[in-house]
Amino acid sequence: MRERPLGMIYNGVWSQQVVATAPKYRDLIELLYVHALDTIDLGRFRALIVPFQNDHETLARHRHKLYALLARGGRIAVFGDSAHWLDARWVPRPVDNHWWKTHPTTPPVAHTRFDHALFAGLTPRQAGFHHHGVYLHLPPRADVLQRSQQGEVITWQSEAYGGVLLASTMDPIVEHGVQQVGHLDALVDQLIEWLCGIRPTATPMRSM
Amino acid sequence: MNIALIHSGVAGTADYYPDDGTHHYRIERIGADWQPCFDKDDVVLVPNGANHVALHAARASLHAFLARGGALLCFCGFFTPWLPGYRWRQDFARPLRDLRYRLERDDLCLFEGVEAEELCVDAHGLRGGWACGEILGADQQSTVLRDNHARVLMVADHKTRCGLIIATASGPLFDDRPDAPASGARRVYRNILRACRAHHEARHA
Repeated sequence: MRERPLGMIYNGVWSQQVVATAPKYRDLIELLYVHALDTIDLGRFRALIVPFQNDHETLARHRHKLYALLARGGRIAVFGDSAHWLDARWVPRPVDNHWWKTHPTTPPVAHTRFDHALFAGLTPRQAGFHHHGVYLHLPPRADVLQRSQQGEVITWQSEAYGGVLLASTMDPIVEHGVQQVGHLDALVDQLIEWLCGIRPTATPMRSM
Repeated sequence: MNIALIHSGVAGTADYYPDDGTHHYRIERIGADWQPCFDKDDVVLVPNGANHVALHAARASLHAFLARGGALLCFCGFFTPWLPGYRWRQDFARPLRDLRYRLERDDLCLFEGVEAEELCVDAHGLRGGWACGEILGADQQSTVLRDNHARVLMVADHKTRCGLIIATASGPLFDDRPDAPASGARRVYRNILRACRAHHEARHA
């Protein structure tokens, strides 16, 4: 089997598996079981995705392997909540995943840096949806990429570790797997291209 | 009643299941080479967002628990084949706005005080988001809930084997406020706990 450029830290959750094994993504993403990280060589991946609903306590025990990937210039994107192994402080906030019905003109993610390659060309609706908390404290040399209506940090990145570490309290992976945010192909395609330089096919995941 | 809450390391899992004086939750934390022992548990609960790779690896323990009469609850898409007799299949082929739920058979009174549509429509009027697939392997005896496309969304099986299985097609059920009045999905969860208590008492009678 051809080596895939992206690893996805996998906690055995069905929605994570759905995305990584979809025909659209399966040649690009390899599932890396979180409880097998002891035996996995991360050196063969250009980048890693850490989706929501992960086991961050276990992941924290392997943080040296993650930061080693960054140190050699790799990229890591961490999504969702409570990634306490980052040099950042996450705190919870109420999750508003009904905003598009109750307050369609005031999305929870109100400010996005569309000059960043992850979001360039996307519509505000494609780039921002509900989030799972905010970051109060950021690591060195962090740039804020997205803020909430209240001005709190949703997405940031830092190049202080060698490569690029990006963290967001949104999660385009589990939500894409669950298929209850109906327009995530654009952001996930952009994410994969930003992480590994290869753009997936334009066909929506749902129709494959 | 002693309930083993399967914890996959997902933050906040235990917050949905506080002790209430009658039901005591024991955190059963999944780790590398996880080999759980459920000998002292009356119920094993698999919540939404569970690690089904680990559950499959530990299926012998789960099957032994059922064989001695335990109650096994699963409220997450069991995409690996660890739940005996049943499979779960992800299915997004139907537009959510068109979905309707209907009660099929309810020997255990799991929907007492609840209309099936209360699970289909959330507090904001959004329809069909509760379940993300269907359960395969159910028969007329075990099917509790279906949708208008004949997909099985909940099973309750207390006749096939010594133990009790209650599973949803990924629909979450929990009670994070056991002191408050309950309706909808929370009421269903309380009814499920009542059914587990009845099963436990019948087994020990």
